[in-house]
Parts: sequence; C-alpha cells; structure tokens
Amino acid sequence: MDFIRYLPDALSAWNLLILCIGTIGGLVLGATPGLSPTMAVALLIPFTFQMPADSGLILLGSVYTATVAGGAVSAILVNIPGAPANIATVLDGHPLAQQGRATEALHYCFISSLIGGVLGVLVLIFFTPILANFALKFGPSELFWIAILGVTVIGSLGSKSVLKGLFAGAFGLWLSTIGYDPVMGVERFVFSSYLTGGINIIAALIGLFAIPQVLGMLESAASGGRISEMYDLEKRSVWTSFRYNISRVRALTIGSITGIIVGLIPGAGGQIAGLVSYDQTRKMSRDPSRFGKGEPDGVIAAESANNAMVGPSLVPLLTLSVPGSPTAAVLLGGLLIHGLFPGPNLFTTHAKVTWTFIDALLLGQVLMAVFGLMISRYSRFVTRVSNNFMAAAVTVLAVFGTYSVQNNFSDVMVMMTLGTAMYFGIKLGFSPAPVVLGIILGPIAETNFAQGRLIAESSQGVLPYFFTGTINLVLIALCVGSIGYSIFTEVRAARRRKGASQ
Amino acid sequence: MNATRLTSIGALVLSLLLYWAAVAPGDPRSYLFPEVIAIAMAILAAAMLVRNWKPSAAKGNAPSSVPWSRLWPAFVIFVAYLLLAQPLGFYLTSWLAFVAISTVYSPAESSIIGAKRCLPASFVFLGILYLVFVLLLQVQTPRGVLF
Repeated sequence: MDFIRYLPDALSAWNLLILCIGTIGGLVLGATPGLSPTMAVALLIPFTFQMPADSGLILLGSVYTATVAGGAVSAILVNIPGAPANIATVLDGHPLAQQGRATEALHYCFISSLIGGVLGVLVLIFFTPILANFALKFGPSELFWIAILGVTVIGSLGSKSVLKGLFAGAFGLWLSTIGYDPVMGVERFVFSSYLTGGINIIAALIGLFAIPQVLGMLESAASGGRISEMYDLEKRSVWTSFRYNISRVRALTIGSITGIIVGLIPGAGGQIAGLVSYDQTRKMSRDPSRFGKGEPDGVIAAESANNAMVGPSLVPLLTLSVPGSPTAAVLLGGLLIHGLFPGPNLFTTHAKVTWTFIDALLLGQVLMAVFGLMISRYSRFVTRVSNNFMAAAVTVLAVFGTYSVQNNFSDVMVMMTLGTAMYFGIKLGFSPAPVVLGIILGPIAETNFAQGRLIAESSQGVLPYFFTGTINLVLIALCVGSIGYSIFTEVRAARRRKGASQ
Repeated sequence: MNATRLTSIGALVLSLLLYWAAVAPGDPRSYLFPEVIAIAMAILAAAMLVRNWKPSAAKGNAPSSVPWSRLWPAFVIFVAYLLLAQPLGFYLTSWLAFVAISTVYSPAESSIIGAKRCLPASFVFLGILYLVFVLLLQVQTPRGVLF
C-alpha cells in the first residue's frame, strides 16, 4: 500500500503548511467571481519553481481542490458561480440564501464536497497504478495516439463547437513546434527574436487563461454594481447540517458517482459533472418541482459531483498524459516543468513525489471542508472586490509570474500576445483549453511520431506501424468516437433550437 | 458577409499560411509534423466554412462582438506596460499599470475618487509582490532607470 507508506511525507510540517496555504488561498480565489480554478492554478505555477516537486504539486493540487469548492460561496451568496463547476450550485444554493438559509447551504456545500472529494481521491489512489502498469505496453505509436487523443477529446468534448475545438487543438500543436525541433535540433518558425526559445508552456498557460479573463472582467468593470444582493448568514450548527447532509444518501450517491465518471472521461470537467448530477438527482426525486426553489438536494448533488470529479480527472493525466479537465491540463504543465512525465515512471522512479501528492490531495479534502466551514462566513467579503482591482492584480501577477519562470522578458511578450489573441479567439467561439493542451502535448506527439517513423521505416512501414495493433486501434476508435459523439450532440442541439424557433 | 463565415475564412487563411511556413524552408524531416498539422487545420477550417455557409447553421456558437470603446484603454495600457517595463523598471511600470487599470475602469463616478481608492490598494499589492518575488523567490527583475 504505497499511499500509506508515503503518508508521513504528506504530513511533514512543510507540506502541511503548503497544504493549508493552498487550501485557504484556493477557497478565497474560488469564492472570487471571475477567477477560475484553471487560471488560479496557472498563475501559481511560477511560485512552485523554488519548491521541491512534491510541495509544488501539493500547492497546485490543493488550490485545484479548494477553488472548486470555494466557488460555491459566491454561487450561494451572490448568485454568481465562482467557477464554471459551480453553475449547478446556483440553481438551488442561491434560492436557499434568499430564504435566509445561506449558512445551511454553505454547510451542505462543504460537507458534500468533502464526501465527494474523498471518494474521488480514493478512485485516484486505487485506479491510477493499475492504468499506469497498463501504460508500460505503450510504444511510440501508442504514445503518439495518446497525445492526439488528449487534444481530440478536449477539443471535441470540452468545446461548444467540435470543429472550432479541434482547430484550436491543432493550432496549439502547431504552436508547440516553434523553436527547436526535439529530434533533429533544427530551429523552426522563429519569426521574431522573442520566439528563439520556442513557446514556454507556463507563459502560454498564463497568457491563454489569465489575459482573456482580465479583458472579460474589464468589459463589465466600469459599469460596477455587479452584485445586486448579498444575503446575511444565519446562525446554525454544523452538526445539524452534517446529520441532514449524510441522510441524503441518494443525492450524495448520484453526485459522487456522476462526478467520478465524468472526471475519468478526459476533457469533461466539473461543469458537466455538476449539471449532470443535478439533473439526475432532480429526475430521480419524489418531488422534482422543489428543485430550483431552494432544494438542499440540488446543492448536495452538484457539490459532491464537482469535487468527486477532481481526483478521477487526474487518473488519465498521471497515467496517460490525458487530462480529465482543463485545470488538470494546467497541472500537466506543472508536472512537466518539475521534470515529471506521466506514465509508469511516476509510480516507480518518482513514487515518493507522486504518492505524497496524492496523499496530500486526500488530506486536502478534509482541510478544504474544515477551512471552508470556518472561513466561508468571511470569504463573502471577497465577492465584493471590484473587477477593476481584480483585473489590475491579475495582469501584474501574470507579468511577474511569467517573467520569474526563466527571468526572460520574451516570455512576457509571448504571454501577452497569446493572451490577447486568445481573447479575440474566444469572441470568435474558440476555447483556450484545446490550444493549451496542444502546446503541452505537441512535443510528446512529435517526438513519438518521429521515433515511430524511424522504427517503422526499418520494419513494416509507417502506415501499418501507426494504424495496426490493438491499442492503436482502440485509441484511434476513441478519437473518432469522441469526435462522433460531439458532432451528434451538436447536431441534436441545433435541431432542438430549430424546433424551438419554429 | 456574416461574422461566422468570416471566422471560417480567417481560419482557412491562417492554416494555409502555416502550411506555407512549414513547406517553405524545404527540410522535409524537421517540418513534416507541422506540415501535417497545418493540413489538418486546413481541412477543419474548410469543414467550418462549408458548415457555416448557411448563416442559420452556426447560431449556437456565433461570434460575439468586441466592445472596443470599453477595451481600447486596456490595450493601450498593455502595450505601454510591455514597452516601458524594461527601460523604466518592473516595479514602477507594474505600479503604473495597476493604478491605470484600476482607475480607468473604476466604477466610481469621479476619476479622483477612483484614484483615491486605487492608490492604497496599488501600494499594498506591489508591496506584497515585492516581498514574494524579491525576498522569498529571489527573482531578479529588470530595474531600468528607475526602481
């Protein structure tokens, strides 16, 4: 039981301190409307450079966990989800606050997040080594298809338009080829001196996620008056809420199972987990008409689902380099800059770092609930911070964070350029997550593509090498399946819109 | 021509440019991967164009407009920030950028009131950044002619 063996490392004073800072910081960032978990984790990556790999990953993991839960505070109190994962929480959380039951809703949120989150991390603990051992069978062709699968899945399932999502993913792959060719060492597409070293992953992550959000905040900043109503918190015992919460077995089960399944599906993310579990809980309820009017089961299902998603979203990431959510894609960047490559080696050569990180995620769930229940009363003040201050702070932090990676101003220029371009891209319907994943997975895809070609040319030929073999065929089928499924749902949605307009 | 169709044409032009950039240097071994990617992008852009030829086809994910009148000051601040950061020094330009963004976009009716609120916040924020980056992380930032 490796996860028990490395538990003392996660419990060391330094790692516990990092875990507490990450959890409290994540709760505050999550409660702040406009700051998504993905952006928060991206902005924090530069701070982890000076830390040991396990502590750096613990900071990123704890912030990931806590921002998802913290987003419920603003969802409940001011009707603005702190993160996309909390959209479903708004539906019943805010009506509860309107009825003078805001504290009760916050209690359900953190208790359900704890239960869902612990179950999710247990799935991570028990599933990941099995899948990692399976990944030992992978050669260059399989690894090439894995990288393509990651981009395809995020591009198709994680975007509103399949074609735009895939285009964005392919553009990210192309961007990753700027700089030195990883196999031949030839310099490519260096159109400007700023691009000499290629596109730094962290600069791209920060730019693509932070700058569009800054510009989005500024769009509405000058108008002010963002928060129309803020509800006071009533006095209520946590124990009373806890007893009621654990008695809602159906909502907790549906939420946790849905979150785990959605987390394991690459590219899906917490937003889908929350909405699907909310919808299923409502459908299976004896009185669905209560939903949307302040039904605690709605909050319980949504919050247990979006936190249950966190652990499983790291299973395909740690084993196959395929992230289960956009934030997990950013974490992949965090792993790579610490010299950790997903796959079986993580659980053998880097077992200490990996298991300490996973154990810390488990502890983080408990701390998230404890701190969440303690500070949610105060974190509502964060929701009052104006967008102009938030945008100014994020801009300056993005510049400092990017510069600190390599002490190179070119990275800042690249970050700002990519971020501004992405803002216009978002306006045109493109998503940043596939671009980021393309940039991260591009070198993996290209290196394995080149190695595969060398092997294939001396044996069976390139096409048979890449397009035969059970694992290759399964991976290709998954690529095609994710695209096919997304096209099907897009066509169905278009037909529904057409039907509704007629 | 509608925005959706223009987006598809723009995507197609971009992919063809990237394809040209990949084939122009003439070293097939180093440029094969970006070439294949550019071809895939062109196919996807062409599919977008075909799909969006009818204006009604892309209603679900239609492009939204950029509020230029609100955002042009932000773009000016960004450009000035990047141009001045090295010659003037990171901390001074960051402070100026913070004050400029938070004042220009302040919801306060008067810019003087807005600036009064922004100044203390800017000093606190930059002070924290200085502590974290210089003292804790020991990052050497460009100092320029000023601090």
